[in-house]
Order: sequence, then structure tokens, then C-alpha cells
Amino acid sequence: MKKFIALVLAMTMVFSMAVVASAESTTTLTTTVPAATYTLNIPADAVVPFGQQYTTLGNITVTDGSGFASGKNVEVTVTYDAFKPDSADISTTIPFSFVITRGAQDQTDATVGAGSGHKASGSTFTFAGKVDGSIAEKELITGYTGSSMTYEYLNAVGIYVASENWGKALAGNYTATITFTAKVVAEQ
Amino acid sequence: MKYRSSILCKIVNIVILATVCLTIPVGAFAAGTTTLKTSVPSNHTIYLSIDGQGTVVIEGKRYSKSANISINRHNEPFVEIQAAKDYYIRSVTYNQENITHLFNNGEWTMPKIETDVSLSVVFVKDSGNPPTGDTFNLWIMVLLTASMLGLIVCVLNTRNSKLI
Repeated sequence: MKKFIALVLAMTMVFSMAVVASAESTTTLTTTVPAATYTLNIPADAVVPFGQQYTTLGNITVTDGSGFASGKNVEVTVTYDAFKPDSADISTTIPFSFVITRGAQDQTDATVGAGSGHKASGSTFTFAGKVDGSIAEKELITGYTGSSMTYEYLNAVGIYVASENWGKALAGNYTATITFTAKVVAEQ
Repeated sequence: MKYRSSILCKIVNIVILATVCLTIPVGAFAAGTTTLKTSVPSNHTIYLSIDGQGTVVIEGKRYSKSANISINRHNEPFVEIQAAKDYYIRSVTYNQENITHLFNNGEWTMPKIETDVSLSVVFVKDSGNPPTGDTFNLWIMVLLTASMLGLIVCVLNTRNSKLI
């Protein structure tokens, strides 16, 4: 009996020591990254008057953003092609370029014109995610004037049709489509 | 054999997963389109302005006073200008540009019509004044020249007679 009790005590001691030697505790942290949601606002359909070189269409904005963060942005890609004739009998197209106007953040009456920048098909516009989870409504375009940094915002988009491109076109009706594709991207 | 295929499957799965992670952006796509429409007219207007007495013939049709003329797009209209009796062509302006010098015997072919254009012709009554617009009378100039020549001849004659 004594031997048995001694054995039990010895084992208890050994096991308790082993537990102490390999003691480990963990804290498990879990989080959920919410899906970013937003509303992409693009210009409405429009009729372009014959011969007009600059046509203001409106602006590209992103609103109602949630689930964003600094470095988690929305990138909008603009693709387009020339005006194509509605009838197969017409052999001409009317090329144009997508143009943008920059300016102060609070400017509301911006239009495109001679000073506007031209953007090739496939150009992208980045709307920055904010620390508070929302997203910038307008694209911020930074640049330099001399040695000082400048901050301008995308205020208007439109199209430019060169006068000679109007001139070459045969009579008839034409249609063009501008596609805006948005996706949430993380800065590398 | 089974063990090998299981390892191969895992490797393939890892490669596929890595590829998907690189190409799929964070979040979902959204796309929208803006449709633009335009119409190119089949006719354009020549805004013809005539000042004074004379006729302008465009594509065979005669005009003696101002008119708006419809012309097919991309046509190159032939223009003839004829001043009335005792009138001359003072100026021809095409889209605000003076093109009087381009007229050969009162004829000219317009460039390809790609938009509405304006053609303005001014006829002026020929009152003997030079068509340059100079108001100095030509006859007075002739008389003055003749007088000067006569004076020179007189002076020379007087000198010669003194020498004899």
C-alpha cells in the first residue's frame, strides 16, 4: 500500500512539474474586414451638337463610401472609341478624346475647354479611401508649380472633337459609348 | 501512387490560389456607360450677302440680292460674280476672309463645304475713281504731270536761248 501511495505521489509530482515547464497561453484576436461599398456617379447620356469641339458631360464622383481605409481606394478606368455610324452605308467615324478640367475642390460650375487635359482610352482615376472608412468624392490630382506642391480636383469631364474630324464625316447619325469601370484596389 | 497524386493536387491548388490572389482586386467591380449621340447634316447653308448692283451665280443659279442657299455637304460649289454696268467688284469675303484676289475672270471654286459658310460680295458704282479706294482724281494727276513737264521744257528752252 505504501509503495502504491508513493508511486501515485511521485507521478503527481512529475506531471505537475511537466505542466509548469511547458506552460503556454494564447490570446486569439479576430477581425472582419467589411466589403467596401460605394456609389459610382458617371455622366448621363448626351447629344453632341454637330461641329461643337468641346462638350461638357458632367463629372465622375464616388459617394456613399464605407469600408474603406487609407490606402484602400477606388480606381475608375475610362474606355472609349470613336463615334460609329448607325448605318452600315456610312464609312466614316468621328474620333474624339476624353478631356478633364481640374480646379478647386468646391468648384461646381466647371466646364471643359481649350485648357482641359486629354485622357487616352484606358486612363484611370483614383478616389482615395479615408481613415474614417469613407472615400473622397473627387479625384485629387497633385502636382508641382515650381517647388511648391499643388492640389487640384477633378471637376469636369467631357469630350473634344477636332474640327477636321467633324469636316471629314459623312452625313448621318453616329453613336459613341464611354465605359467607366470601377474597382476597389489596395495601394501596393 | 495515391499519396503522389494527393501532393500534386495540393501543389496545383496552391498555384491556382496564388494566381487568383494576384489578379482579383480587393472588392467588386462596378461598371457603367455613357452613350453619346450626334448627327452630321446632309446639307449646309451658304449665307450670301450682296451689296450693290451685280449678280452672283452659285452652282448655275443666279442671285442679285442676299439669300440663304442650301448646298449638299462636301460639295465644292462653282461661283461666278458679274458686276452690273458701271459697277465693279469692290470685295469678296468668304467666312470673314478677303478672297477678292482668288477670283479669276470673276470665277472661283469654293472649298469643300463641311459646315455653314458665309459669302459676301460688294459691288461699287464706277465713278472714275481708281478701284483701290484712292480718292485722288486721276485726271488732276495727269494735268499736274503735264504741267510739270511743260515747265521743265520751258526752263530748258530759256537756258538754251541764253547760251546762244
